[in-house]
Amino acid sequence: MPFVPDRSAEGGLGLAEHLVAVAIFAVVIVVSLSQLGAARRAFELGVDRAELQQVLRVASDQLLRDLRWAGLNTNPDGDPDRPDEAIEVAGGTVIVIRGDADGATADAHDPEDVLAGGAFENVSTGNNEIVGYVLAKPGGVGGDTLSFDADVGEVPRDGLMETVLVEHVALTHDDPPYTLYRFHLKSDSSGVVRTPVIDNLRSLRFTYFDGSGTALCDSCGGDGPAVRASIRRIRVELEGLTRDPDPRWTDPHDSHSGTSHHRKFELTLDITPPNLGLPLVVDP
Amino acid sequence: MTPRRPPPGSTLLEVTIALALLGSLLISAAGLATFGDRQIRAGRSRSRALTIARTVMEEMAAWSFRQTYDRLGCNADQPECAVGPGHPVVGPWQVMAESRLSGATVEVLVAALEGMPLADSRVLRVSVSVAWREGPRSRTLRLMLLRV
Repeated sequence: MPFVPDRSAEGGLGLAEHLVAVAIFAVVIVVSLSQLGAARRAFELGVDRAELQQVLRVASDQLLRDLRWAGLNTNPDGDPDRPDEAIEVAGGTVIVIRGDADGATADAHDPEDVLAGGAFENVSTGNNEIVGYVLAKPGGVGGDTLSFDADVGEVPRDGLMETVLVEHVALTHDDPPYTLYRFHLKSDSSGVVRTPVIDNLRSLRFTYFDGSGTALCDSCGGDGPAVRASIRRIRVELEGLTRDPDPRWTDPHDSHSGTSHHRKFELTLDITPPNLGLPLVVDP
Repeated sequence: MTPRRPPPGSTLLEVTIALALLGSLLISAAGLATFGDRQIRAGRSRSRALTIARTVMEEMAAWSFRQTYDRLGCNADQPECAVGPGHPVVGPWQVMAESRLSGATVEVLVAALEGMPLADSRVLRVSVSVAWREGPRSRTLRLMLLRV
């Protein structure tokens, strides 16, 4: 008698069972992938935001370190005719300070010794100790030029002011992102050395306060040395952008198309340089 | 008589348990993303708290040694002195702190390192504390400086 298999007793799935299984599997896969995508986006955004916080802290550390020595030994003999100022430029979006940054190093007398002996017997701050912070477009380009007067030209110092130009900077911040630049003058007065500090900034603002805590001005540039000499505290406001945009999110407070999908982070720091306003000691 | 073999495949109970396990895994993965986001927010608050404490410390660092406790109205015969947001000197710092970090409070502690009265001390420990809330948790950041 030939063998006839009993199909009703066979294991396995029918077509309808296969379809149901595939449908359930597809639902599970779709849910998993959407969760995976959301997790990946959250992770990338988290990395971006963590990096933003980190670079802003780095920038605020750098600004604190530099601006704290503003005014250190800028007038070593108390000569009232010396044009050197602790804060050479007090702008709303730019600051330039002068201070004896290398006073405790082997460079202390280079080039200060060669600068002394003209109009002043003592010169303790060289050109490379005039330091500024300003924003520029990435790559160091920008349509503005910062101009200020300082006694930087002659060796030895003649006490006369020369005009210093810092080109390709951004003094108004209407086209972010920007790069924060630290700059100082070359020792031989031949130009400006710029160093990028951090990228992806939306804005940088400085506000200046006198000894009573009163805000002097957003931009003291045109107010002359008397107002700059009354500055005791400097407020620095940095606003950064995440490196990558988040297309699924729009900042309701930002109408600029280039940055409206970027997350922002603001950091505000008040710096009280201890050498501002110290009384001059006239060399007898 | 041979016992009847159970039909091959999974029962409804087994499928339900498997789906429940899968669901809990997915929820856990989503929880990780939320946890990461919370950590980033915590970092942001901590960065702001640090700049608040630094701002206060910057201002105090410009004071003389004696002003460190005199301006805070401390009793110089005591070895330490703590002042909070209600103090007239701390008040402006408190306003500044609230404008930068919601719900933040500032406290300042000045203590003689040797345990002697403040007036006789040669070394002062200055602590600036910034406290704030993150949801149900309270957070504190403390910055310390030695005045010699």
